[in-house]
Amino acid sequence: MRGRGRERIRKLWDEDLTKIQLKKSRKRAVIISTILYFGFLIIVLRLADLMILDHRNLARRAYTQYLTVRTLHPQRGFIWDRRMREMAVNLEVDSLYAVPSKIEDVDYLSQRLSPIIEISADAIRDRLLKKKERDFIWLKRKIDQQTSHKLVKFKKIYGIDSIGLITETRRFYPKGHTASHILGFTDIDDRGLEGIELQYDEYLRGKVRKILNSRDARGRSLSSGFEEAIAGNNIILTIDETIQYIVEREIERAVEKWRAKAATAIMMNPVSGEILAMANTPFYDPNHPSRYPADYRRNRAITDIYEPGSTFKSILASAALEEGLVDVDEEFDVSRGYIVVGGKAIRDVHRHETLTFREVIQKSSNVGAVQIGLRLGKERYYEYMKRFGFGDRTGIDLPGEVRGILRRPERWSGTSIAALSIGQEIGVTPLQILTAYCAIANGGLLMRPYVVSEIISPQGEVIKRFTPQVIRRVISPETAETVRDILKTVVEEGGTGRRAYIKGNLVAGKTGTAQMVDPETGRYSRDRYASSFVGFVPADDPVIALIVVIYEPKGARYGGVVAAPVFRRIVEHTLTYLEVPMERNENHILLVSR
Amino acid sequence: MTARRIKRSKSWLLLKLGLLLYLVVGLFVLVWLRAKIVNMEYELAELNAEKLALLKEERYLLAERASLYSAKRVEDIATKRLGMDLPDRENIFYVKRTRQAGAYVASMPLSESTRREDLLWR
Repeated sequence: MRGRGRERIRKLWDEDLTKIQLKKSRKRAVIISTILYFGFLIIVLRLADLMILDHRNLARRAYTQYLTVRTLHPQRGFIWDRRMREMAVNLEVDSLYAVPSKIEDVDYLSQRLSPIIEISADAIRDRLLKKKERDFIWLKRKIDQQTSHKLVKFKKIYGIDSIGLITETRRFYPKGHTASHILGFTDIDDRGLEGIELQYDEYLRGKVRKILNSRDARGRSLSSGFEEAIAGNNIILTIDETIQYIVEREIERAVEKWRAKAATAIMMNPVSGEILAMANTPFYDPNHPSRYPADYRRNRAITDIYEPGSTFKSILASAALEEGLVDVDEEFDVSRGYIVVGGKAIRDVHRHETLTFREVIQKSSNVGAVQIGLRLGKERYYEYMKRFGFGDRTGIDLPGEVRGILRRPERWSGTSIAALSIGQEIGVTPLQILTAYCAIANGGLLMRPYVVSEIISPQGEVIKRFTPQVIRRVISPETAETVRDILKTVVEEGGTGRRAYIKGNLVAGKTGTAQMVDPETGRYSRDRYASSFVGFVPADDPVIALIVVIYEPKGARYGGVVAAPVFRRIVEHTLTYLEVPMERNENHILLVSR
Repeated sequence: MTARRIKRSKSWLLLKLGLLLYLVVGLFVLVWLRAKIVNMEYELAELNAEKLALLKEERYLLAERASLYSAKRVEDIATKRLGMDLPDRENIFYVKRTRQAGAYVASMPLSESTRREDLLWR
């Protein structure tokens, strides 16, 4: 009995224990699951907060962490000469920036950076402190490669991440000062400021592209593959680098020889109007334009006006012949050596008895020219001057061209017709004179001068092609031929331009010696002259036309002495370069078969 | 439990396992693809950087070549270093080639050699 009772008690005890244990574990399970539920609820709520309520703000923050906006700077278009020689290219250079808000010790950084970037420590410090709240400032832009290497090393050694380098493009003119007045230059942001760079900036400038670049937690960037800005279009000039160099070299020598103030020379294809060379002295290096005074950067060929002097007599002769007022062999009495018009005496440099019309031009007689001018009359002469393009821009595709000065006949004084007959009382640019001579050279057509022949896309497609453009016919082909024949005599025995004579090829041209106005007195200066020579070669079938103007030479003043030899040297070398054979020597041509 | 029921529950289990496997494999493939893309993006970025460096070098070399070919430099070297001189026009002989095959002919009318069209657009 007792044994059975004990067993029963044990059984009951066991059952109770199991019940108690079950109860306990159930309680624990409820507590744990409640905690878990609440835990999950908190997570869900937090997720809802992150993903729904604060989504926009957080998404923006995430983007800034793993996405960066990169600006791709485009390559500015190249500029080539007519034989595809590079005149303006681009280099990739580094620019140094700083993040002032990140800099801990401004003084230390300024002191360390100063010798590398060659800016005083105080200047760097001031710049950093002035903009210390900002996240980006430029410290020095477009630095050279050597400095860039030093900065990379400096960053690595000192572990400074508050400064950095960004690659930018810099315009580079590999030929130095050659054709600097045509090419112009750009500013620090690669915008054209002068010359072709300014005139065709719209074409040359590429398009800036911004791309989204993702990066990982370490800052390493990931690429989607298409990372190129749209490059600018390329330009082909009508200029020939070698001819340009010949012209620059010779006018530089002339300026040195005659201790002149300045000089200008332009070479043009008289048939097409293409400018082959346009040079000015003093010149500048477009790679460092700020190192030169503004005066050096001026393209005198199109911005400066001067009185053309005797070179203008060809315009007078053309007008008189076209109007049928004179005959080439008609004689003019110039024996007195002077002529009085409107109370003013105009004299010849050398005394002659009588001169034919041809000789008036050949010997550059002022007295004879005034007589022709008087016969032509105000209105007609003015009309021809306008026809030849004086008082108007030639339309060359370069910025800054001036019109020159040509007063209307109603505003002429009593002496004006005489003064204009010898190339005074008129302001012209060297380019205007050359364009007018080109009309005589090509049979009477005034051509628009131009320096760009083609604009080409980066893919090589022709976007724009410039072709010869006739402005108007100014004289008949017959008159042009007669004037050409007269101009040939200028360079022959007895002419004023003997020193422009070229062995083997006929030259047609005219000398000019013009007094310059003294800016202090407002009158003609006695010792300041503009000596010039303008002409074309070969005279009967011209390939090139050239004008040389030497401003204020010392020791000599006549165009025939100062400018004509420069003309000869330039033309001789150019004809050799262009492989134009000597007309008068057939033995110099060999014929071979292939 | 009948044999039919057992069979059905077994096939359900297999289906479930299959689905799970499919999901797991799909997940792995997705992750693998994503990793592959990221790797390619790294590679692309590296190649891009390499390309930019090469382009940079090419531009420098192009600029250097253009500088070396400048007319002034060529003339300076020819005249000063090599002692050369600019040729006299009288000493220059022009060789004109004709299209016909045949023996060399040492004569040519002048007008043919000075045709203006040949000198235009040169």
